[in-house]
Amino acid sequence: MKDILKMIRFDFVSVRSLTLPYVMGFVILSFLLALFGIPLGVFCVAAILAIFGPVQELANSDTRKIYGILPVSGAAVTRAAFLELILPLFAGEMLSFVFLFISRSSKLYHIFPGSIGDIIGSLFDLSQSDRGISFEGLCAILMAVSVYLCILAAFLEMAARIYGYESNMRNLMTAIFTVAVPAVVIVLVIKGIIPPVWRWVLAWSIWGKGLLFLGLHIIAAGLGALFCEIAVKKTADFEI
Amino acid sequence: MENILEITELNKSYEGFSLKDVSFSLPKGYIMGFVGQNGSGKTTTIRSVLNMAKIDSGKISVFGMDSVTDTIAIKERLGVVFDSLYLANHLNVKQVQDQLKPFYKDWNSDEFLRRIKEFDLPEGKKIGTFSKGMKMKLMIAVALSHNAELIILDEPTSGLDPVARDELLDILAEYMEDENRGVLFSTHITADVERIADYVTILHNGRVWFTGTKDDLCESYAVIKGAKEDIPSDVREKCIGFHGYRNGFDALMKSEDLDQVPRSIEIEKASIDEILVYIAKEDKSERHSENDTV
Repeated sequence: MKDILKMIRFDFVSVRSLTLPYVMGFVILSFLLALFGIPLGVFCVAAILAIFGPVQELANSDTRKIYGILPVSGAAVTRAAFLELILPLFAGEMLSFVFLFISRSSKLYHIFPGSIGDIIGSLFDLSQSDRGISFEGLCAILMAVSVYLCILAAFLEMAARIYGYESNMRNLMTAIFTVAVPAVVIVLVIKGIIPPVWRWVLAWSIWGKGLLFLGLHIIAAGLGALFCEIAVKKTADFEI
Repeated sequence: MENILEITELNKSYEGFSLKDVSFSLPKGYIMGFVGQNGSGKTTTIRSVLNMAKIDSGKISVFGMDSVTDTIAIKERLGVVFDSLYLANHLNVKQVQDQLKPFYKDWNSDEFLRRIKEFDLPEGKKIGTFSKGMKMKLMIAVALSHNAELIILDEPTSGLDPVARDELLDILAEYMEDENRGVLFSTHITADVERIADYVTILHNGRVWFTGTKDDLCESYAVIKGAKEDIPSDVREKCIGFHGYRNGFDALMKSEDLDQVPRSIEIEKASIDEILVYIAKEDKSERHSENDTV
């Protein structure tokens, strides 16, 4: 575990000057807008994921040699890479929930004079009853997207480590999971298969929803761990 | 003498290239020049030592430990300098230290900063903007800061100007003042080896052509020059890289065969550079004669 944490720290130092200022800027902006009832923070789930984004690019360049020089096992390098995907994703999801909650509770847009405040309120105020999607519904979508992104990111990382970041196999898998799967979901919504299930879940008690939230995250983290261990095993004999 | 690095019958095959039974050892307290033409297998051997390349067979022992099973313990005590920087270009020297420090038990920040100052490396500048010489010095500063007992350099001087090369060799000479250390120095610039190495290993077509002390190498071979008609055919067969031209010939010959050389033929001491050139010529003429036979 110590080696994995060292690797995460190593990668963080590598990329922090490239990504952290932008991500922090987005988080601060999300917070400020949330105070005015604007739920931009819902995208924090993707923004935080971007912190370690350039690591892949660095790992494909000449700097890749460092992994053969450092006193650390290849397995620790791989496990660190998976955690760099999964942990920020879940942290970003939590942050998104917090900003969603703030944007529902805070009504600072009232300080704007006249119609500006009304427009913001009518566009974004999640507590207004005539909104097309409820606060709870938005939270559920956020959770579903986050869980799907976790599984997708871990799966593509596994494919990249086994077949290479630029391989056709990985590109094919990326296309299938980023286009085909959401397309199937949209078709199921249009065909009216998903909405009843959705309404049924939203009618659950707070404990039921909590258990579902926990269960889905455990499944996502478990699949992430499974993909990670497959990558560790399959790449054990790979050269650097 | 205790060996700091020992390679025994190392075999490693890639498509179109293979290392064949590579064996040599570097005793503690010495610098070994690891020379050979481009593509002779130097980098593959080094990558095998670092467990970056998975060997097919053979054994590599560093500090008495196995390079595959004890690779992490070995790398704690090893410094590596490649021909290109292995650190992210946008970092500065302090961030490099931030990154690497947790990996080494013996990391000494004061020593790192002292070396950075000594090598005149700017602390706040992005390392990607450093000259090649500065990048080399940075990699050496990293190696020295975690008290590496063996430094492996892969073509560190190629592309360096003469002043930077000279500085690098001085740094290595200073490093070797501690007799418990060792340096494996891969290069095709043999002048550097002549200047600094105690031992030389010549790799040719994936095989060890010579390994031993530099003095042994220079005493074991000589360059002979003269008129073609003066060299008897049985002596000519013993020549390495025989090169005939209109007015005469030149070739490399083992010192043990020199007593058969007629007095009319001039004998000169062979430099490592000349040895490498004659090995390449011999290889070329062998290939030509094989083609003729076919």
